[in-house]
Amino acid sequence: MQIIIDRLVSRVPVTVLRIHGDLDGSNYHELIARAREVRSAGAEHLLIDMTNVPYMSSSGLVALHSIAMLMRGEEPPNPEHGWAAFHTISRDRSEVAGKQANVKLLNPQPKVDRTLHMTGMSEFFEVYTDMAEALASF
Amino acid sequence: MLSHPVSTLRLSAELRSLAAIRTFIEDTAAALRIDHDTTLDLLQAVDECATNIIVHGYRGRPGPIEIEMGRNGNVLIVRLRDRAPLFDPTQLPLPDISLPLEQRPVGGMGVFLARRLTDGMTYRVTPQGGNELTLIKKTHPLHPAEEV
Repeated sequence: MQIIIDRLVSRVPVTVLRIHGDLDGSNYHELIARAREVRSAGAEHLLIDMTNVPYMSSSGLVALHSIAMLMRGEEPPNPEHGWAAFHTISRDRSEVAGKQANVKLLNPQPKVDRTLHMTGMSEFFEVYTDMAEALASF
Repeated sequence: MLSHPVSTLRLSAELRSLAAIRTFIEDTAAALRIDHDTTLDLLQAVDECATNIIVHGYRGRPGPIEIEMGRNGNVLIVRLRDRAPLFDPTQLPLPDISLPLEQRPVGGMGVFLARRLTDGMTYRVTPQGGNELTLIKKTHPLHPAEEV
């Protein structure tokens, strides 16, 4: 998996994380780490481009959730505590009204999108298929 | 019993092995003439189960993982064997994602996905004392001309 970071300006500056490759249990930490870096560097709006992610396991769901928490200024659960992390996802999803305002997803492929829907995580994130529309949404 | 040739992959239980496991499922599915959608369902189910074995079973300790795949008519069978501490994932409660928080059980999304993407999941302790998880996935029947 490779992660390319772009900084684009629409109504507000938006940092785009472009993921290339499968997102699984072996590399989801890297995605969280990159998001932590851009947050520390001052990024306030994050668009995760999943156009080139052919496969995402449930580990990717933990990464997406952790990133959402980071961008809200909260510390995510330790992903090594797998079951507890998933429990926090459920709690977070039910407690937060509406979808994430500062982390959004672009163009998840059909199988990835299905994983988001099957686990209820699609209710947690705004999902766009058009880059311009996604940028304008922040 | 599996009526067609069975493919087996043996490797060390490490997260970096996951890509090789997915490639094994894809290659074996192609050899067994499995359609793309069924292959992807099975690939994710096996990946989720293997991840659980590596992360929650071995917990970073070294150990073997063996994956066997074959078909019997229109049924695909994948068996995952490991020597981690005994654990039966079929007994995990499934998270009901429609329930409000206070009624929701703590559960694993990986096992949840594996069960949703397959048609059956069974567990047994092998005669050697290891874990054996069997995933069952229905597929189209083979025509005589497709026999592998």
